[in-house]
Amino acid sequence: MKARIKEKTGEPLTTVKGIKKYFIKKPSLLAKAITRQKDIVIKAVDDVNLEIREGEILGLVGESGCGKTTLGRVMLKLYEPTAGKIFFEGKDITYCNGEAVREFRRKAQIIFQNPYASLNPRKAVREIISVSLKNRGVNDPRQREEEILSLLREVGLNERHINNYPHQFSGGQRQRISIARALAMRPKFIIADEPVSSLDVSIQAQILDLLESLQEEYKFTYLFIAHDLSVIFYISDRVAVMYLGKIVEVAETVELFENPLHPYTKALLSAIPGVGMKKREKRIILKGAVPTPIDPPQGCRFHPRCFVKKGKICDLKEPTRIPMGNSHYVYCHLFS
Amino acid sequence: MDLLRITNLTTVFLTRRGVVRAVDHINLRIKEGEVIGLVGESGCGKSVSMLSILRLVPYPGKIIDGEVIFNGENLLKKPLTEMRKIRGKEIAMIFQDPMTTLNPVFRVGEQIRESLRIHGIINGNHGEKKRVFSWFANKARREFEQQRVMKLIEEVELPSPEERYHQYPYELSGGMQQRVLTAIALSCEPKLILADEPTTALDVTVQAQILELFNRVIKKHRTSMILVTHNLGVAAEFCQRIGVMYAGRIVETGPTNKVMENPKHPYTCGLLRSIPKISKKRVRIKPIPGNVPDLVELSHKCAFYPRCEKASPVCEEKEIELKEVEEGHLVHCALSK
Repeated sequence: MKARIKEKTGEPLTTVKGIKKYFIKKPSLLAKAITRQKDIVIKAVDDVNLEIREGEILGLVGESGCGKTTLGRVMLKLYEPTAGKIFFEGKDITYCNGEAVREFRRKAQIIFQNPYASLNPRKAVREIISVSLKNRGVNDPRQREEEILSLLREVGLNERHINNYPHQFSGGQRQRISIARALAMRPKFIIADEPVSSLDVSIQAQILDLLESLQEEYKFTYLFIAHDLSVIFYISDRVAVMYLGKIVEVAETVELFENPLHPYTKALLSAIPGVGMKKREKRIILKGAVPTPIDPPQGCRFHPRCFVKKGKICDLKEPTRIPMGNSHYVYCHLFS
Repeated sequence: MDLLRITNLTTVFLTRRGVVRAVDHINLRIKEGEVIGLVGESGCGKSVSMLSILRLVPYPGKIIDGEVIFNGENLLKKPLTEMRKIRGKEIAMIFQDPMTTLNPVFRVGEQIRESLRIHGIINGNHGEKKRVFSWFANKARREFEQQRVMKLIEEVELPSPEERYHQYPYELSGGMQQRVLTAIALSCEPKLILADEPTTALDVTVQAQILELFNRVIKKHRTSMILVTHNLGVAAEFCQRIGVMYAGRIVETGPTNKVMENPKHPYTCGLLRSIPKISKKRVRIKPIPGNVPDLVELSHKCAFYPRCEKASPVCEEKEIELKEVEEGHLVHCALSK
């Protein structure tokens, strides 16, 4: 059974510093003229710093609208950041072009959430995976064929299905195809964006098991994005919790679940139905819903719903990263 | 005395490919004030079971066997005009996705009020709708209904009740919409609520809020509830008894703690082992191999046979019966004693 990675394994593989991603919706000229409507700014990711070490699985968890998917896509250069820098293997790749981007893309891959939307419905499995292999430089068709068959075996698909089209597969099987497609590039870094959320419970287990086995064998670095805390607990070495575009806490998995510090993390863990790590005293029920990232609250984003607010400072000033020892960091005024 | 007693309920869908046995001879009992869970994966028949109770199964579905005894009467034998009096009034339903359940062109308050209007609830009197065309009588009725709706909106803890009444569903978040559905379900004070995956589409903190709301409401009104879910954690926390469904059959049923701690059916065991749990020691999950069978081509006496690690020739010998392994804990398996 995989032991969790405890020690620092040297240089981080990928780092993001001060990443912001704002989506701006401009009203039409007419609307501006008549009603003086302003631009709508969605602050999906607002000043995030994160580093992922080589060989580790970092879990990124948060509820809908917290910005985790957007952050993942920025890290993979699928979106251009509004501000901030992205480093990969020590190099600044934020604004690079051409060959540099292609090289990055060979080493960093993604598995998307929706198995029904992430495969080209007009291409057979063979073609889908061939694209990856050609990009990697496998030019001999016979060699490609061999590799495709080997990949299909590796992800648990029947080799006979090599000519089938996506619609002929189930959700779980399509995810396996997506995994094979990513694997074909022999990447160093894989972002798994909620890869099991839309799958049934027993299929979830199969895919998680597959991702775990592949990681054990190839020692990939994963950014695993999910909203299901039990899945995050199971697969991650370290966990980062996001709320409304910001990271609120980062710690090693067991440490986070046993000793959550940020009030939001506590509420999140307390909300998990069924079993908890300790005998739960009283469940923390947050009031209200998550506010929209269009007009986030001033100061600490969580203060309107916080049940242990420190005082005025929470309304006015944004908390900074506070190291709590043991690789545990929290962004909260209670600890400053 | 049982509030609801289902025996041998069987619902099939007559399709061109063949007959799909969506619900296959299920048995279920629920008392007043009890909460039972129906747990299973997609396609196991739990939603169709709920629809069958209210006879809302869409074409080409057909209920072909069994009895649904509610308050002493068999719902399957009632004329449809009588069923209309039961749906929404005696037995209410909360559906899975609030955004598609609420009517997008009507205001929220109006939708909650609709239930009261249709069932002729006047001044707390669940009587027949009086055909009085006097404007004054109708005014009193409208005012009463509006007041009652406001009370319901407050009971489900929607903030700013006056504003909410006049809002459209799209103006509310998922959690708030689900509260509106709960208000609609509660409006006529039903004896039984069927909740079909009410929290699946919601975030985990919102889910906690909604479950807490259900808890409070059920205790206050002594309503019974059948909660359909694929989340074993939700079932574990919320339900007193659970039934595990697979391929249209209830394969195991019993008090929640007994079924979770001492599962007897191989599918239940497999399911529990395949779900990641948060605990002191990280345990490697063990997935169940294979896929859920095609419900048209069920060729074995036990639907789980092809995926079962304990499968043996005994399983194919004769019809499998429901056996009681300990008090209140029943299992549908050839290998249990």
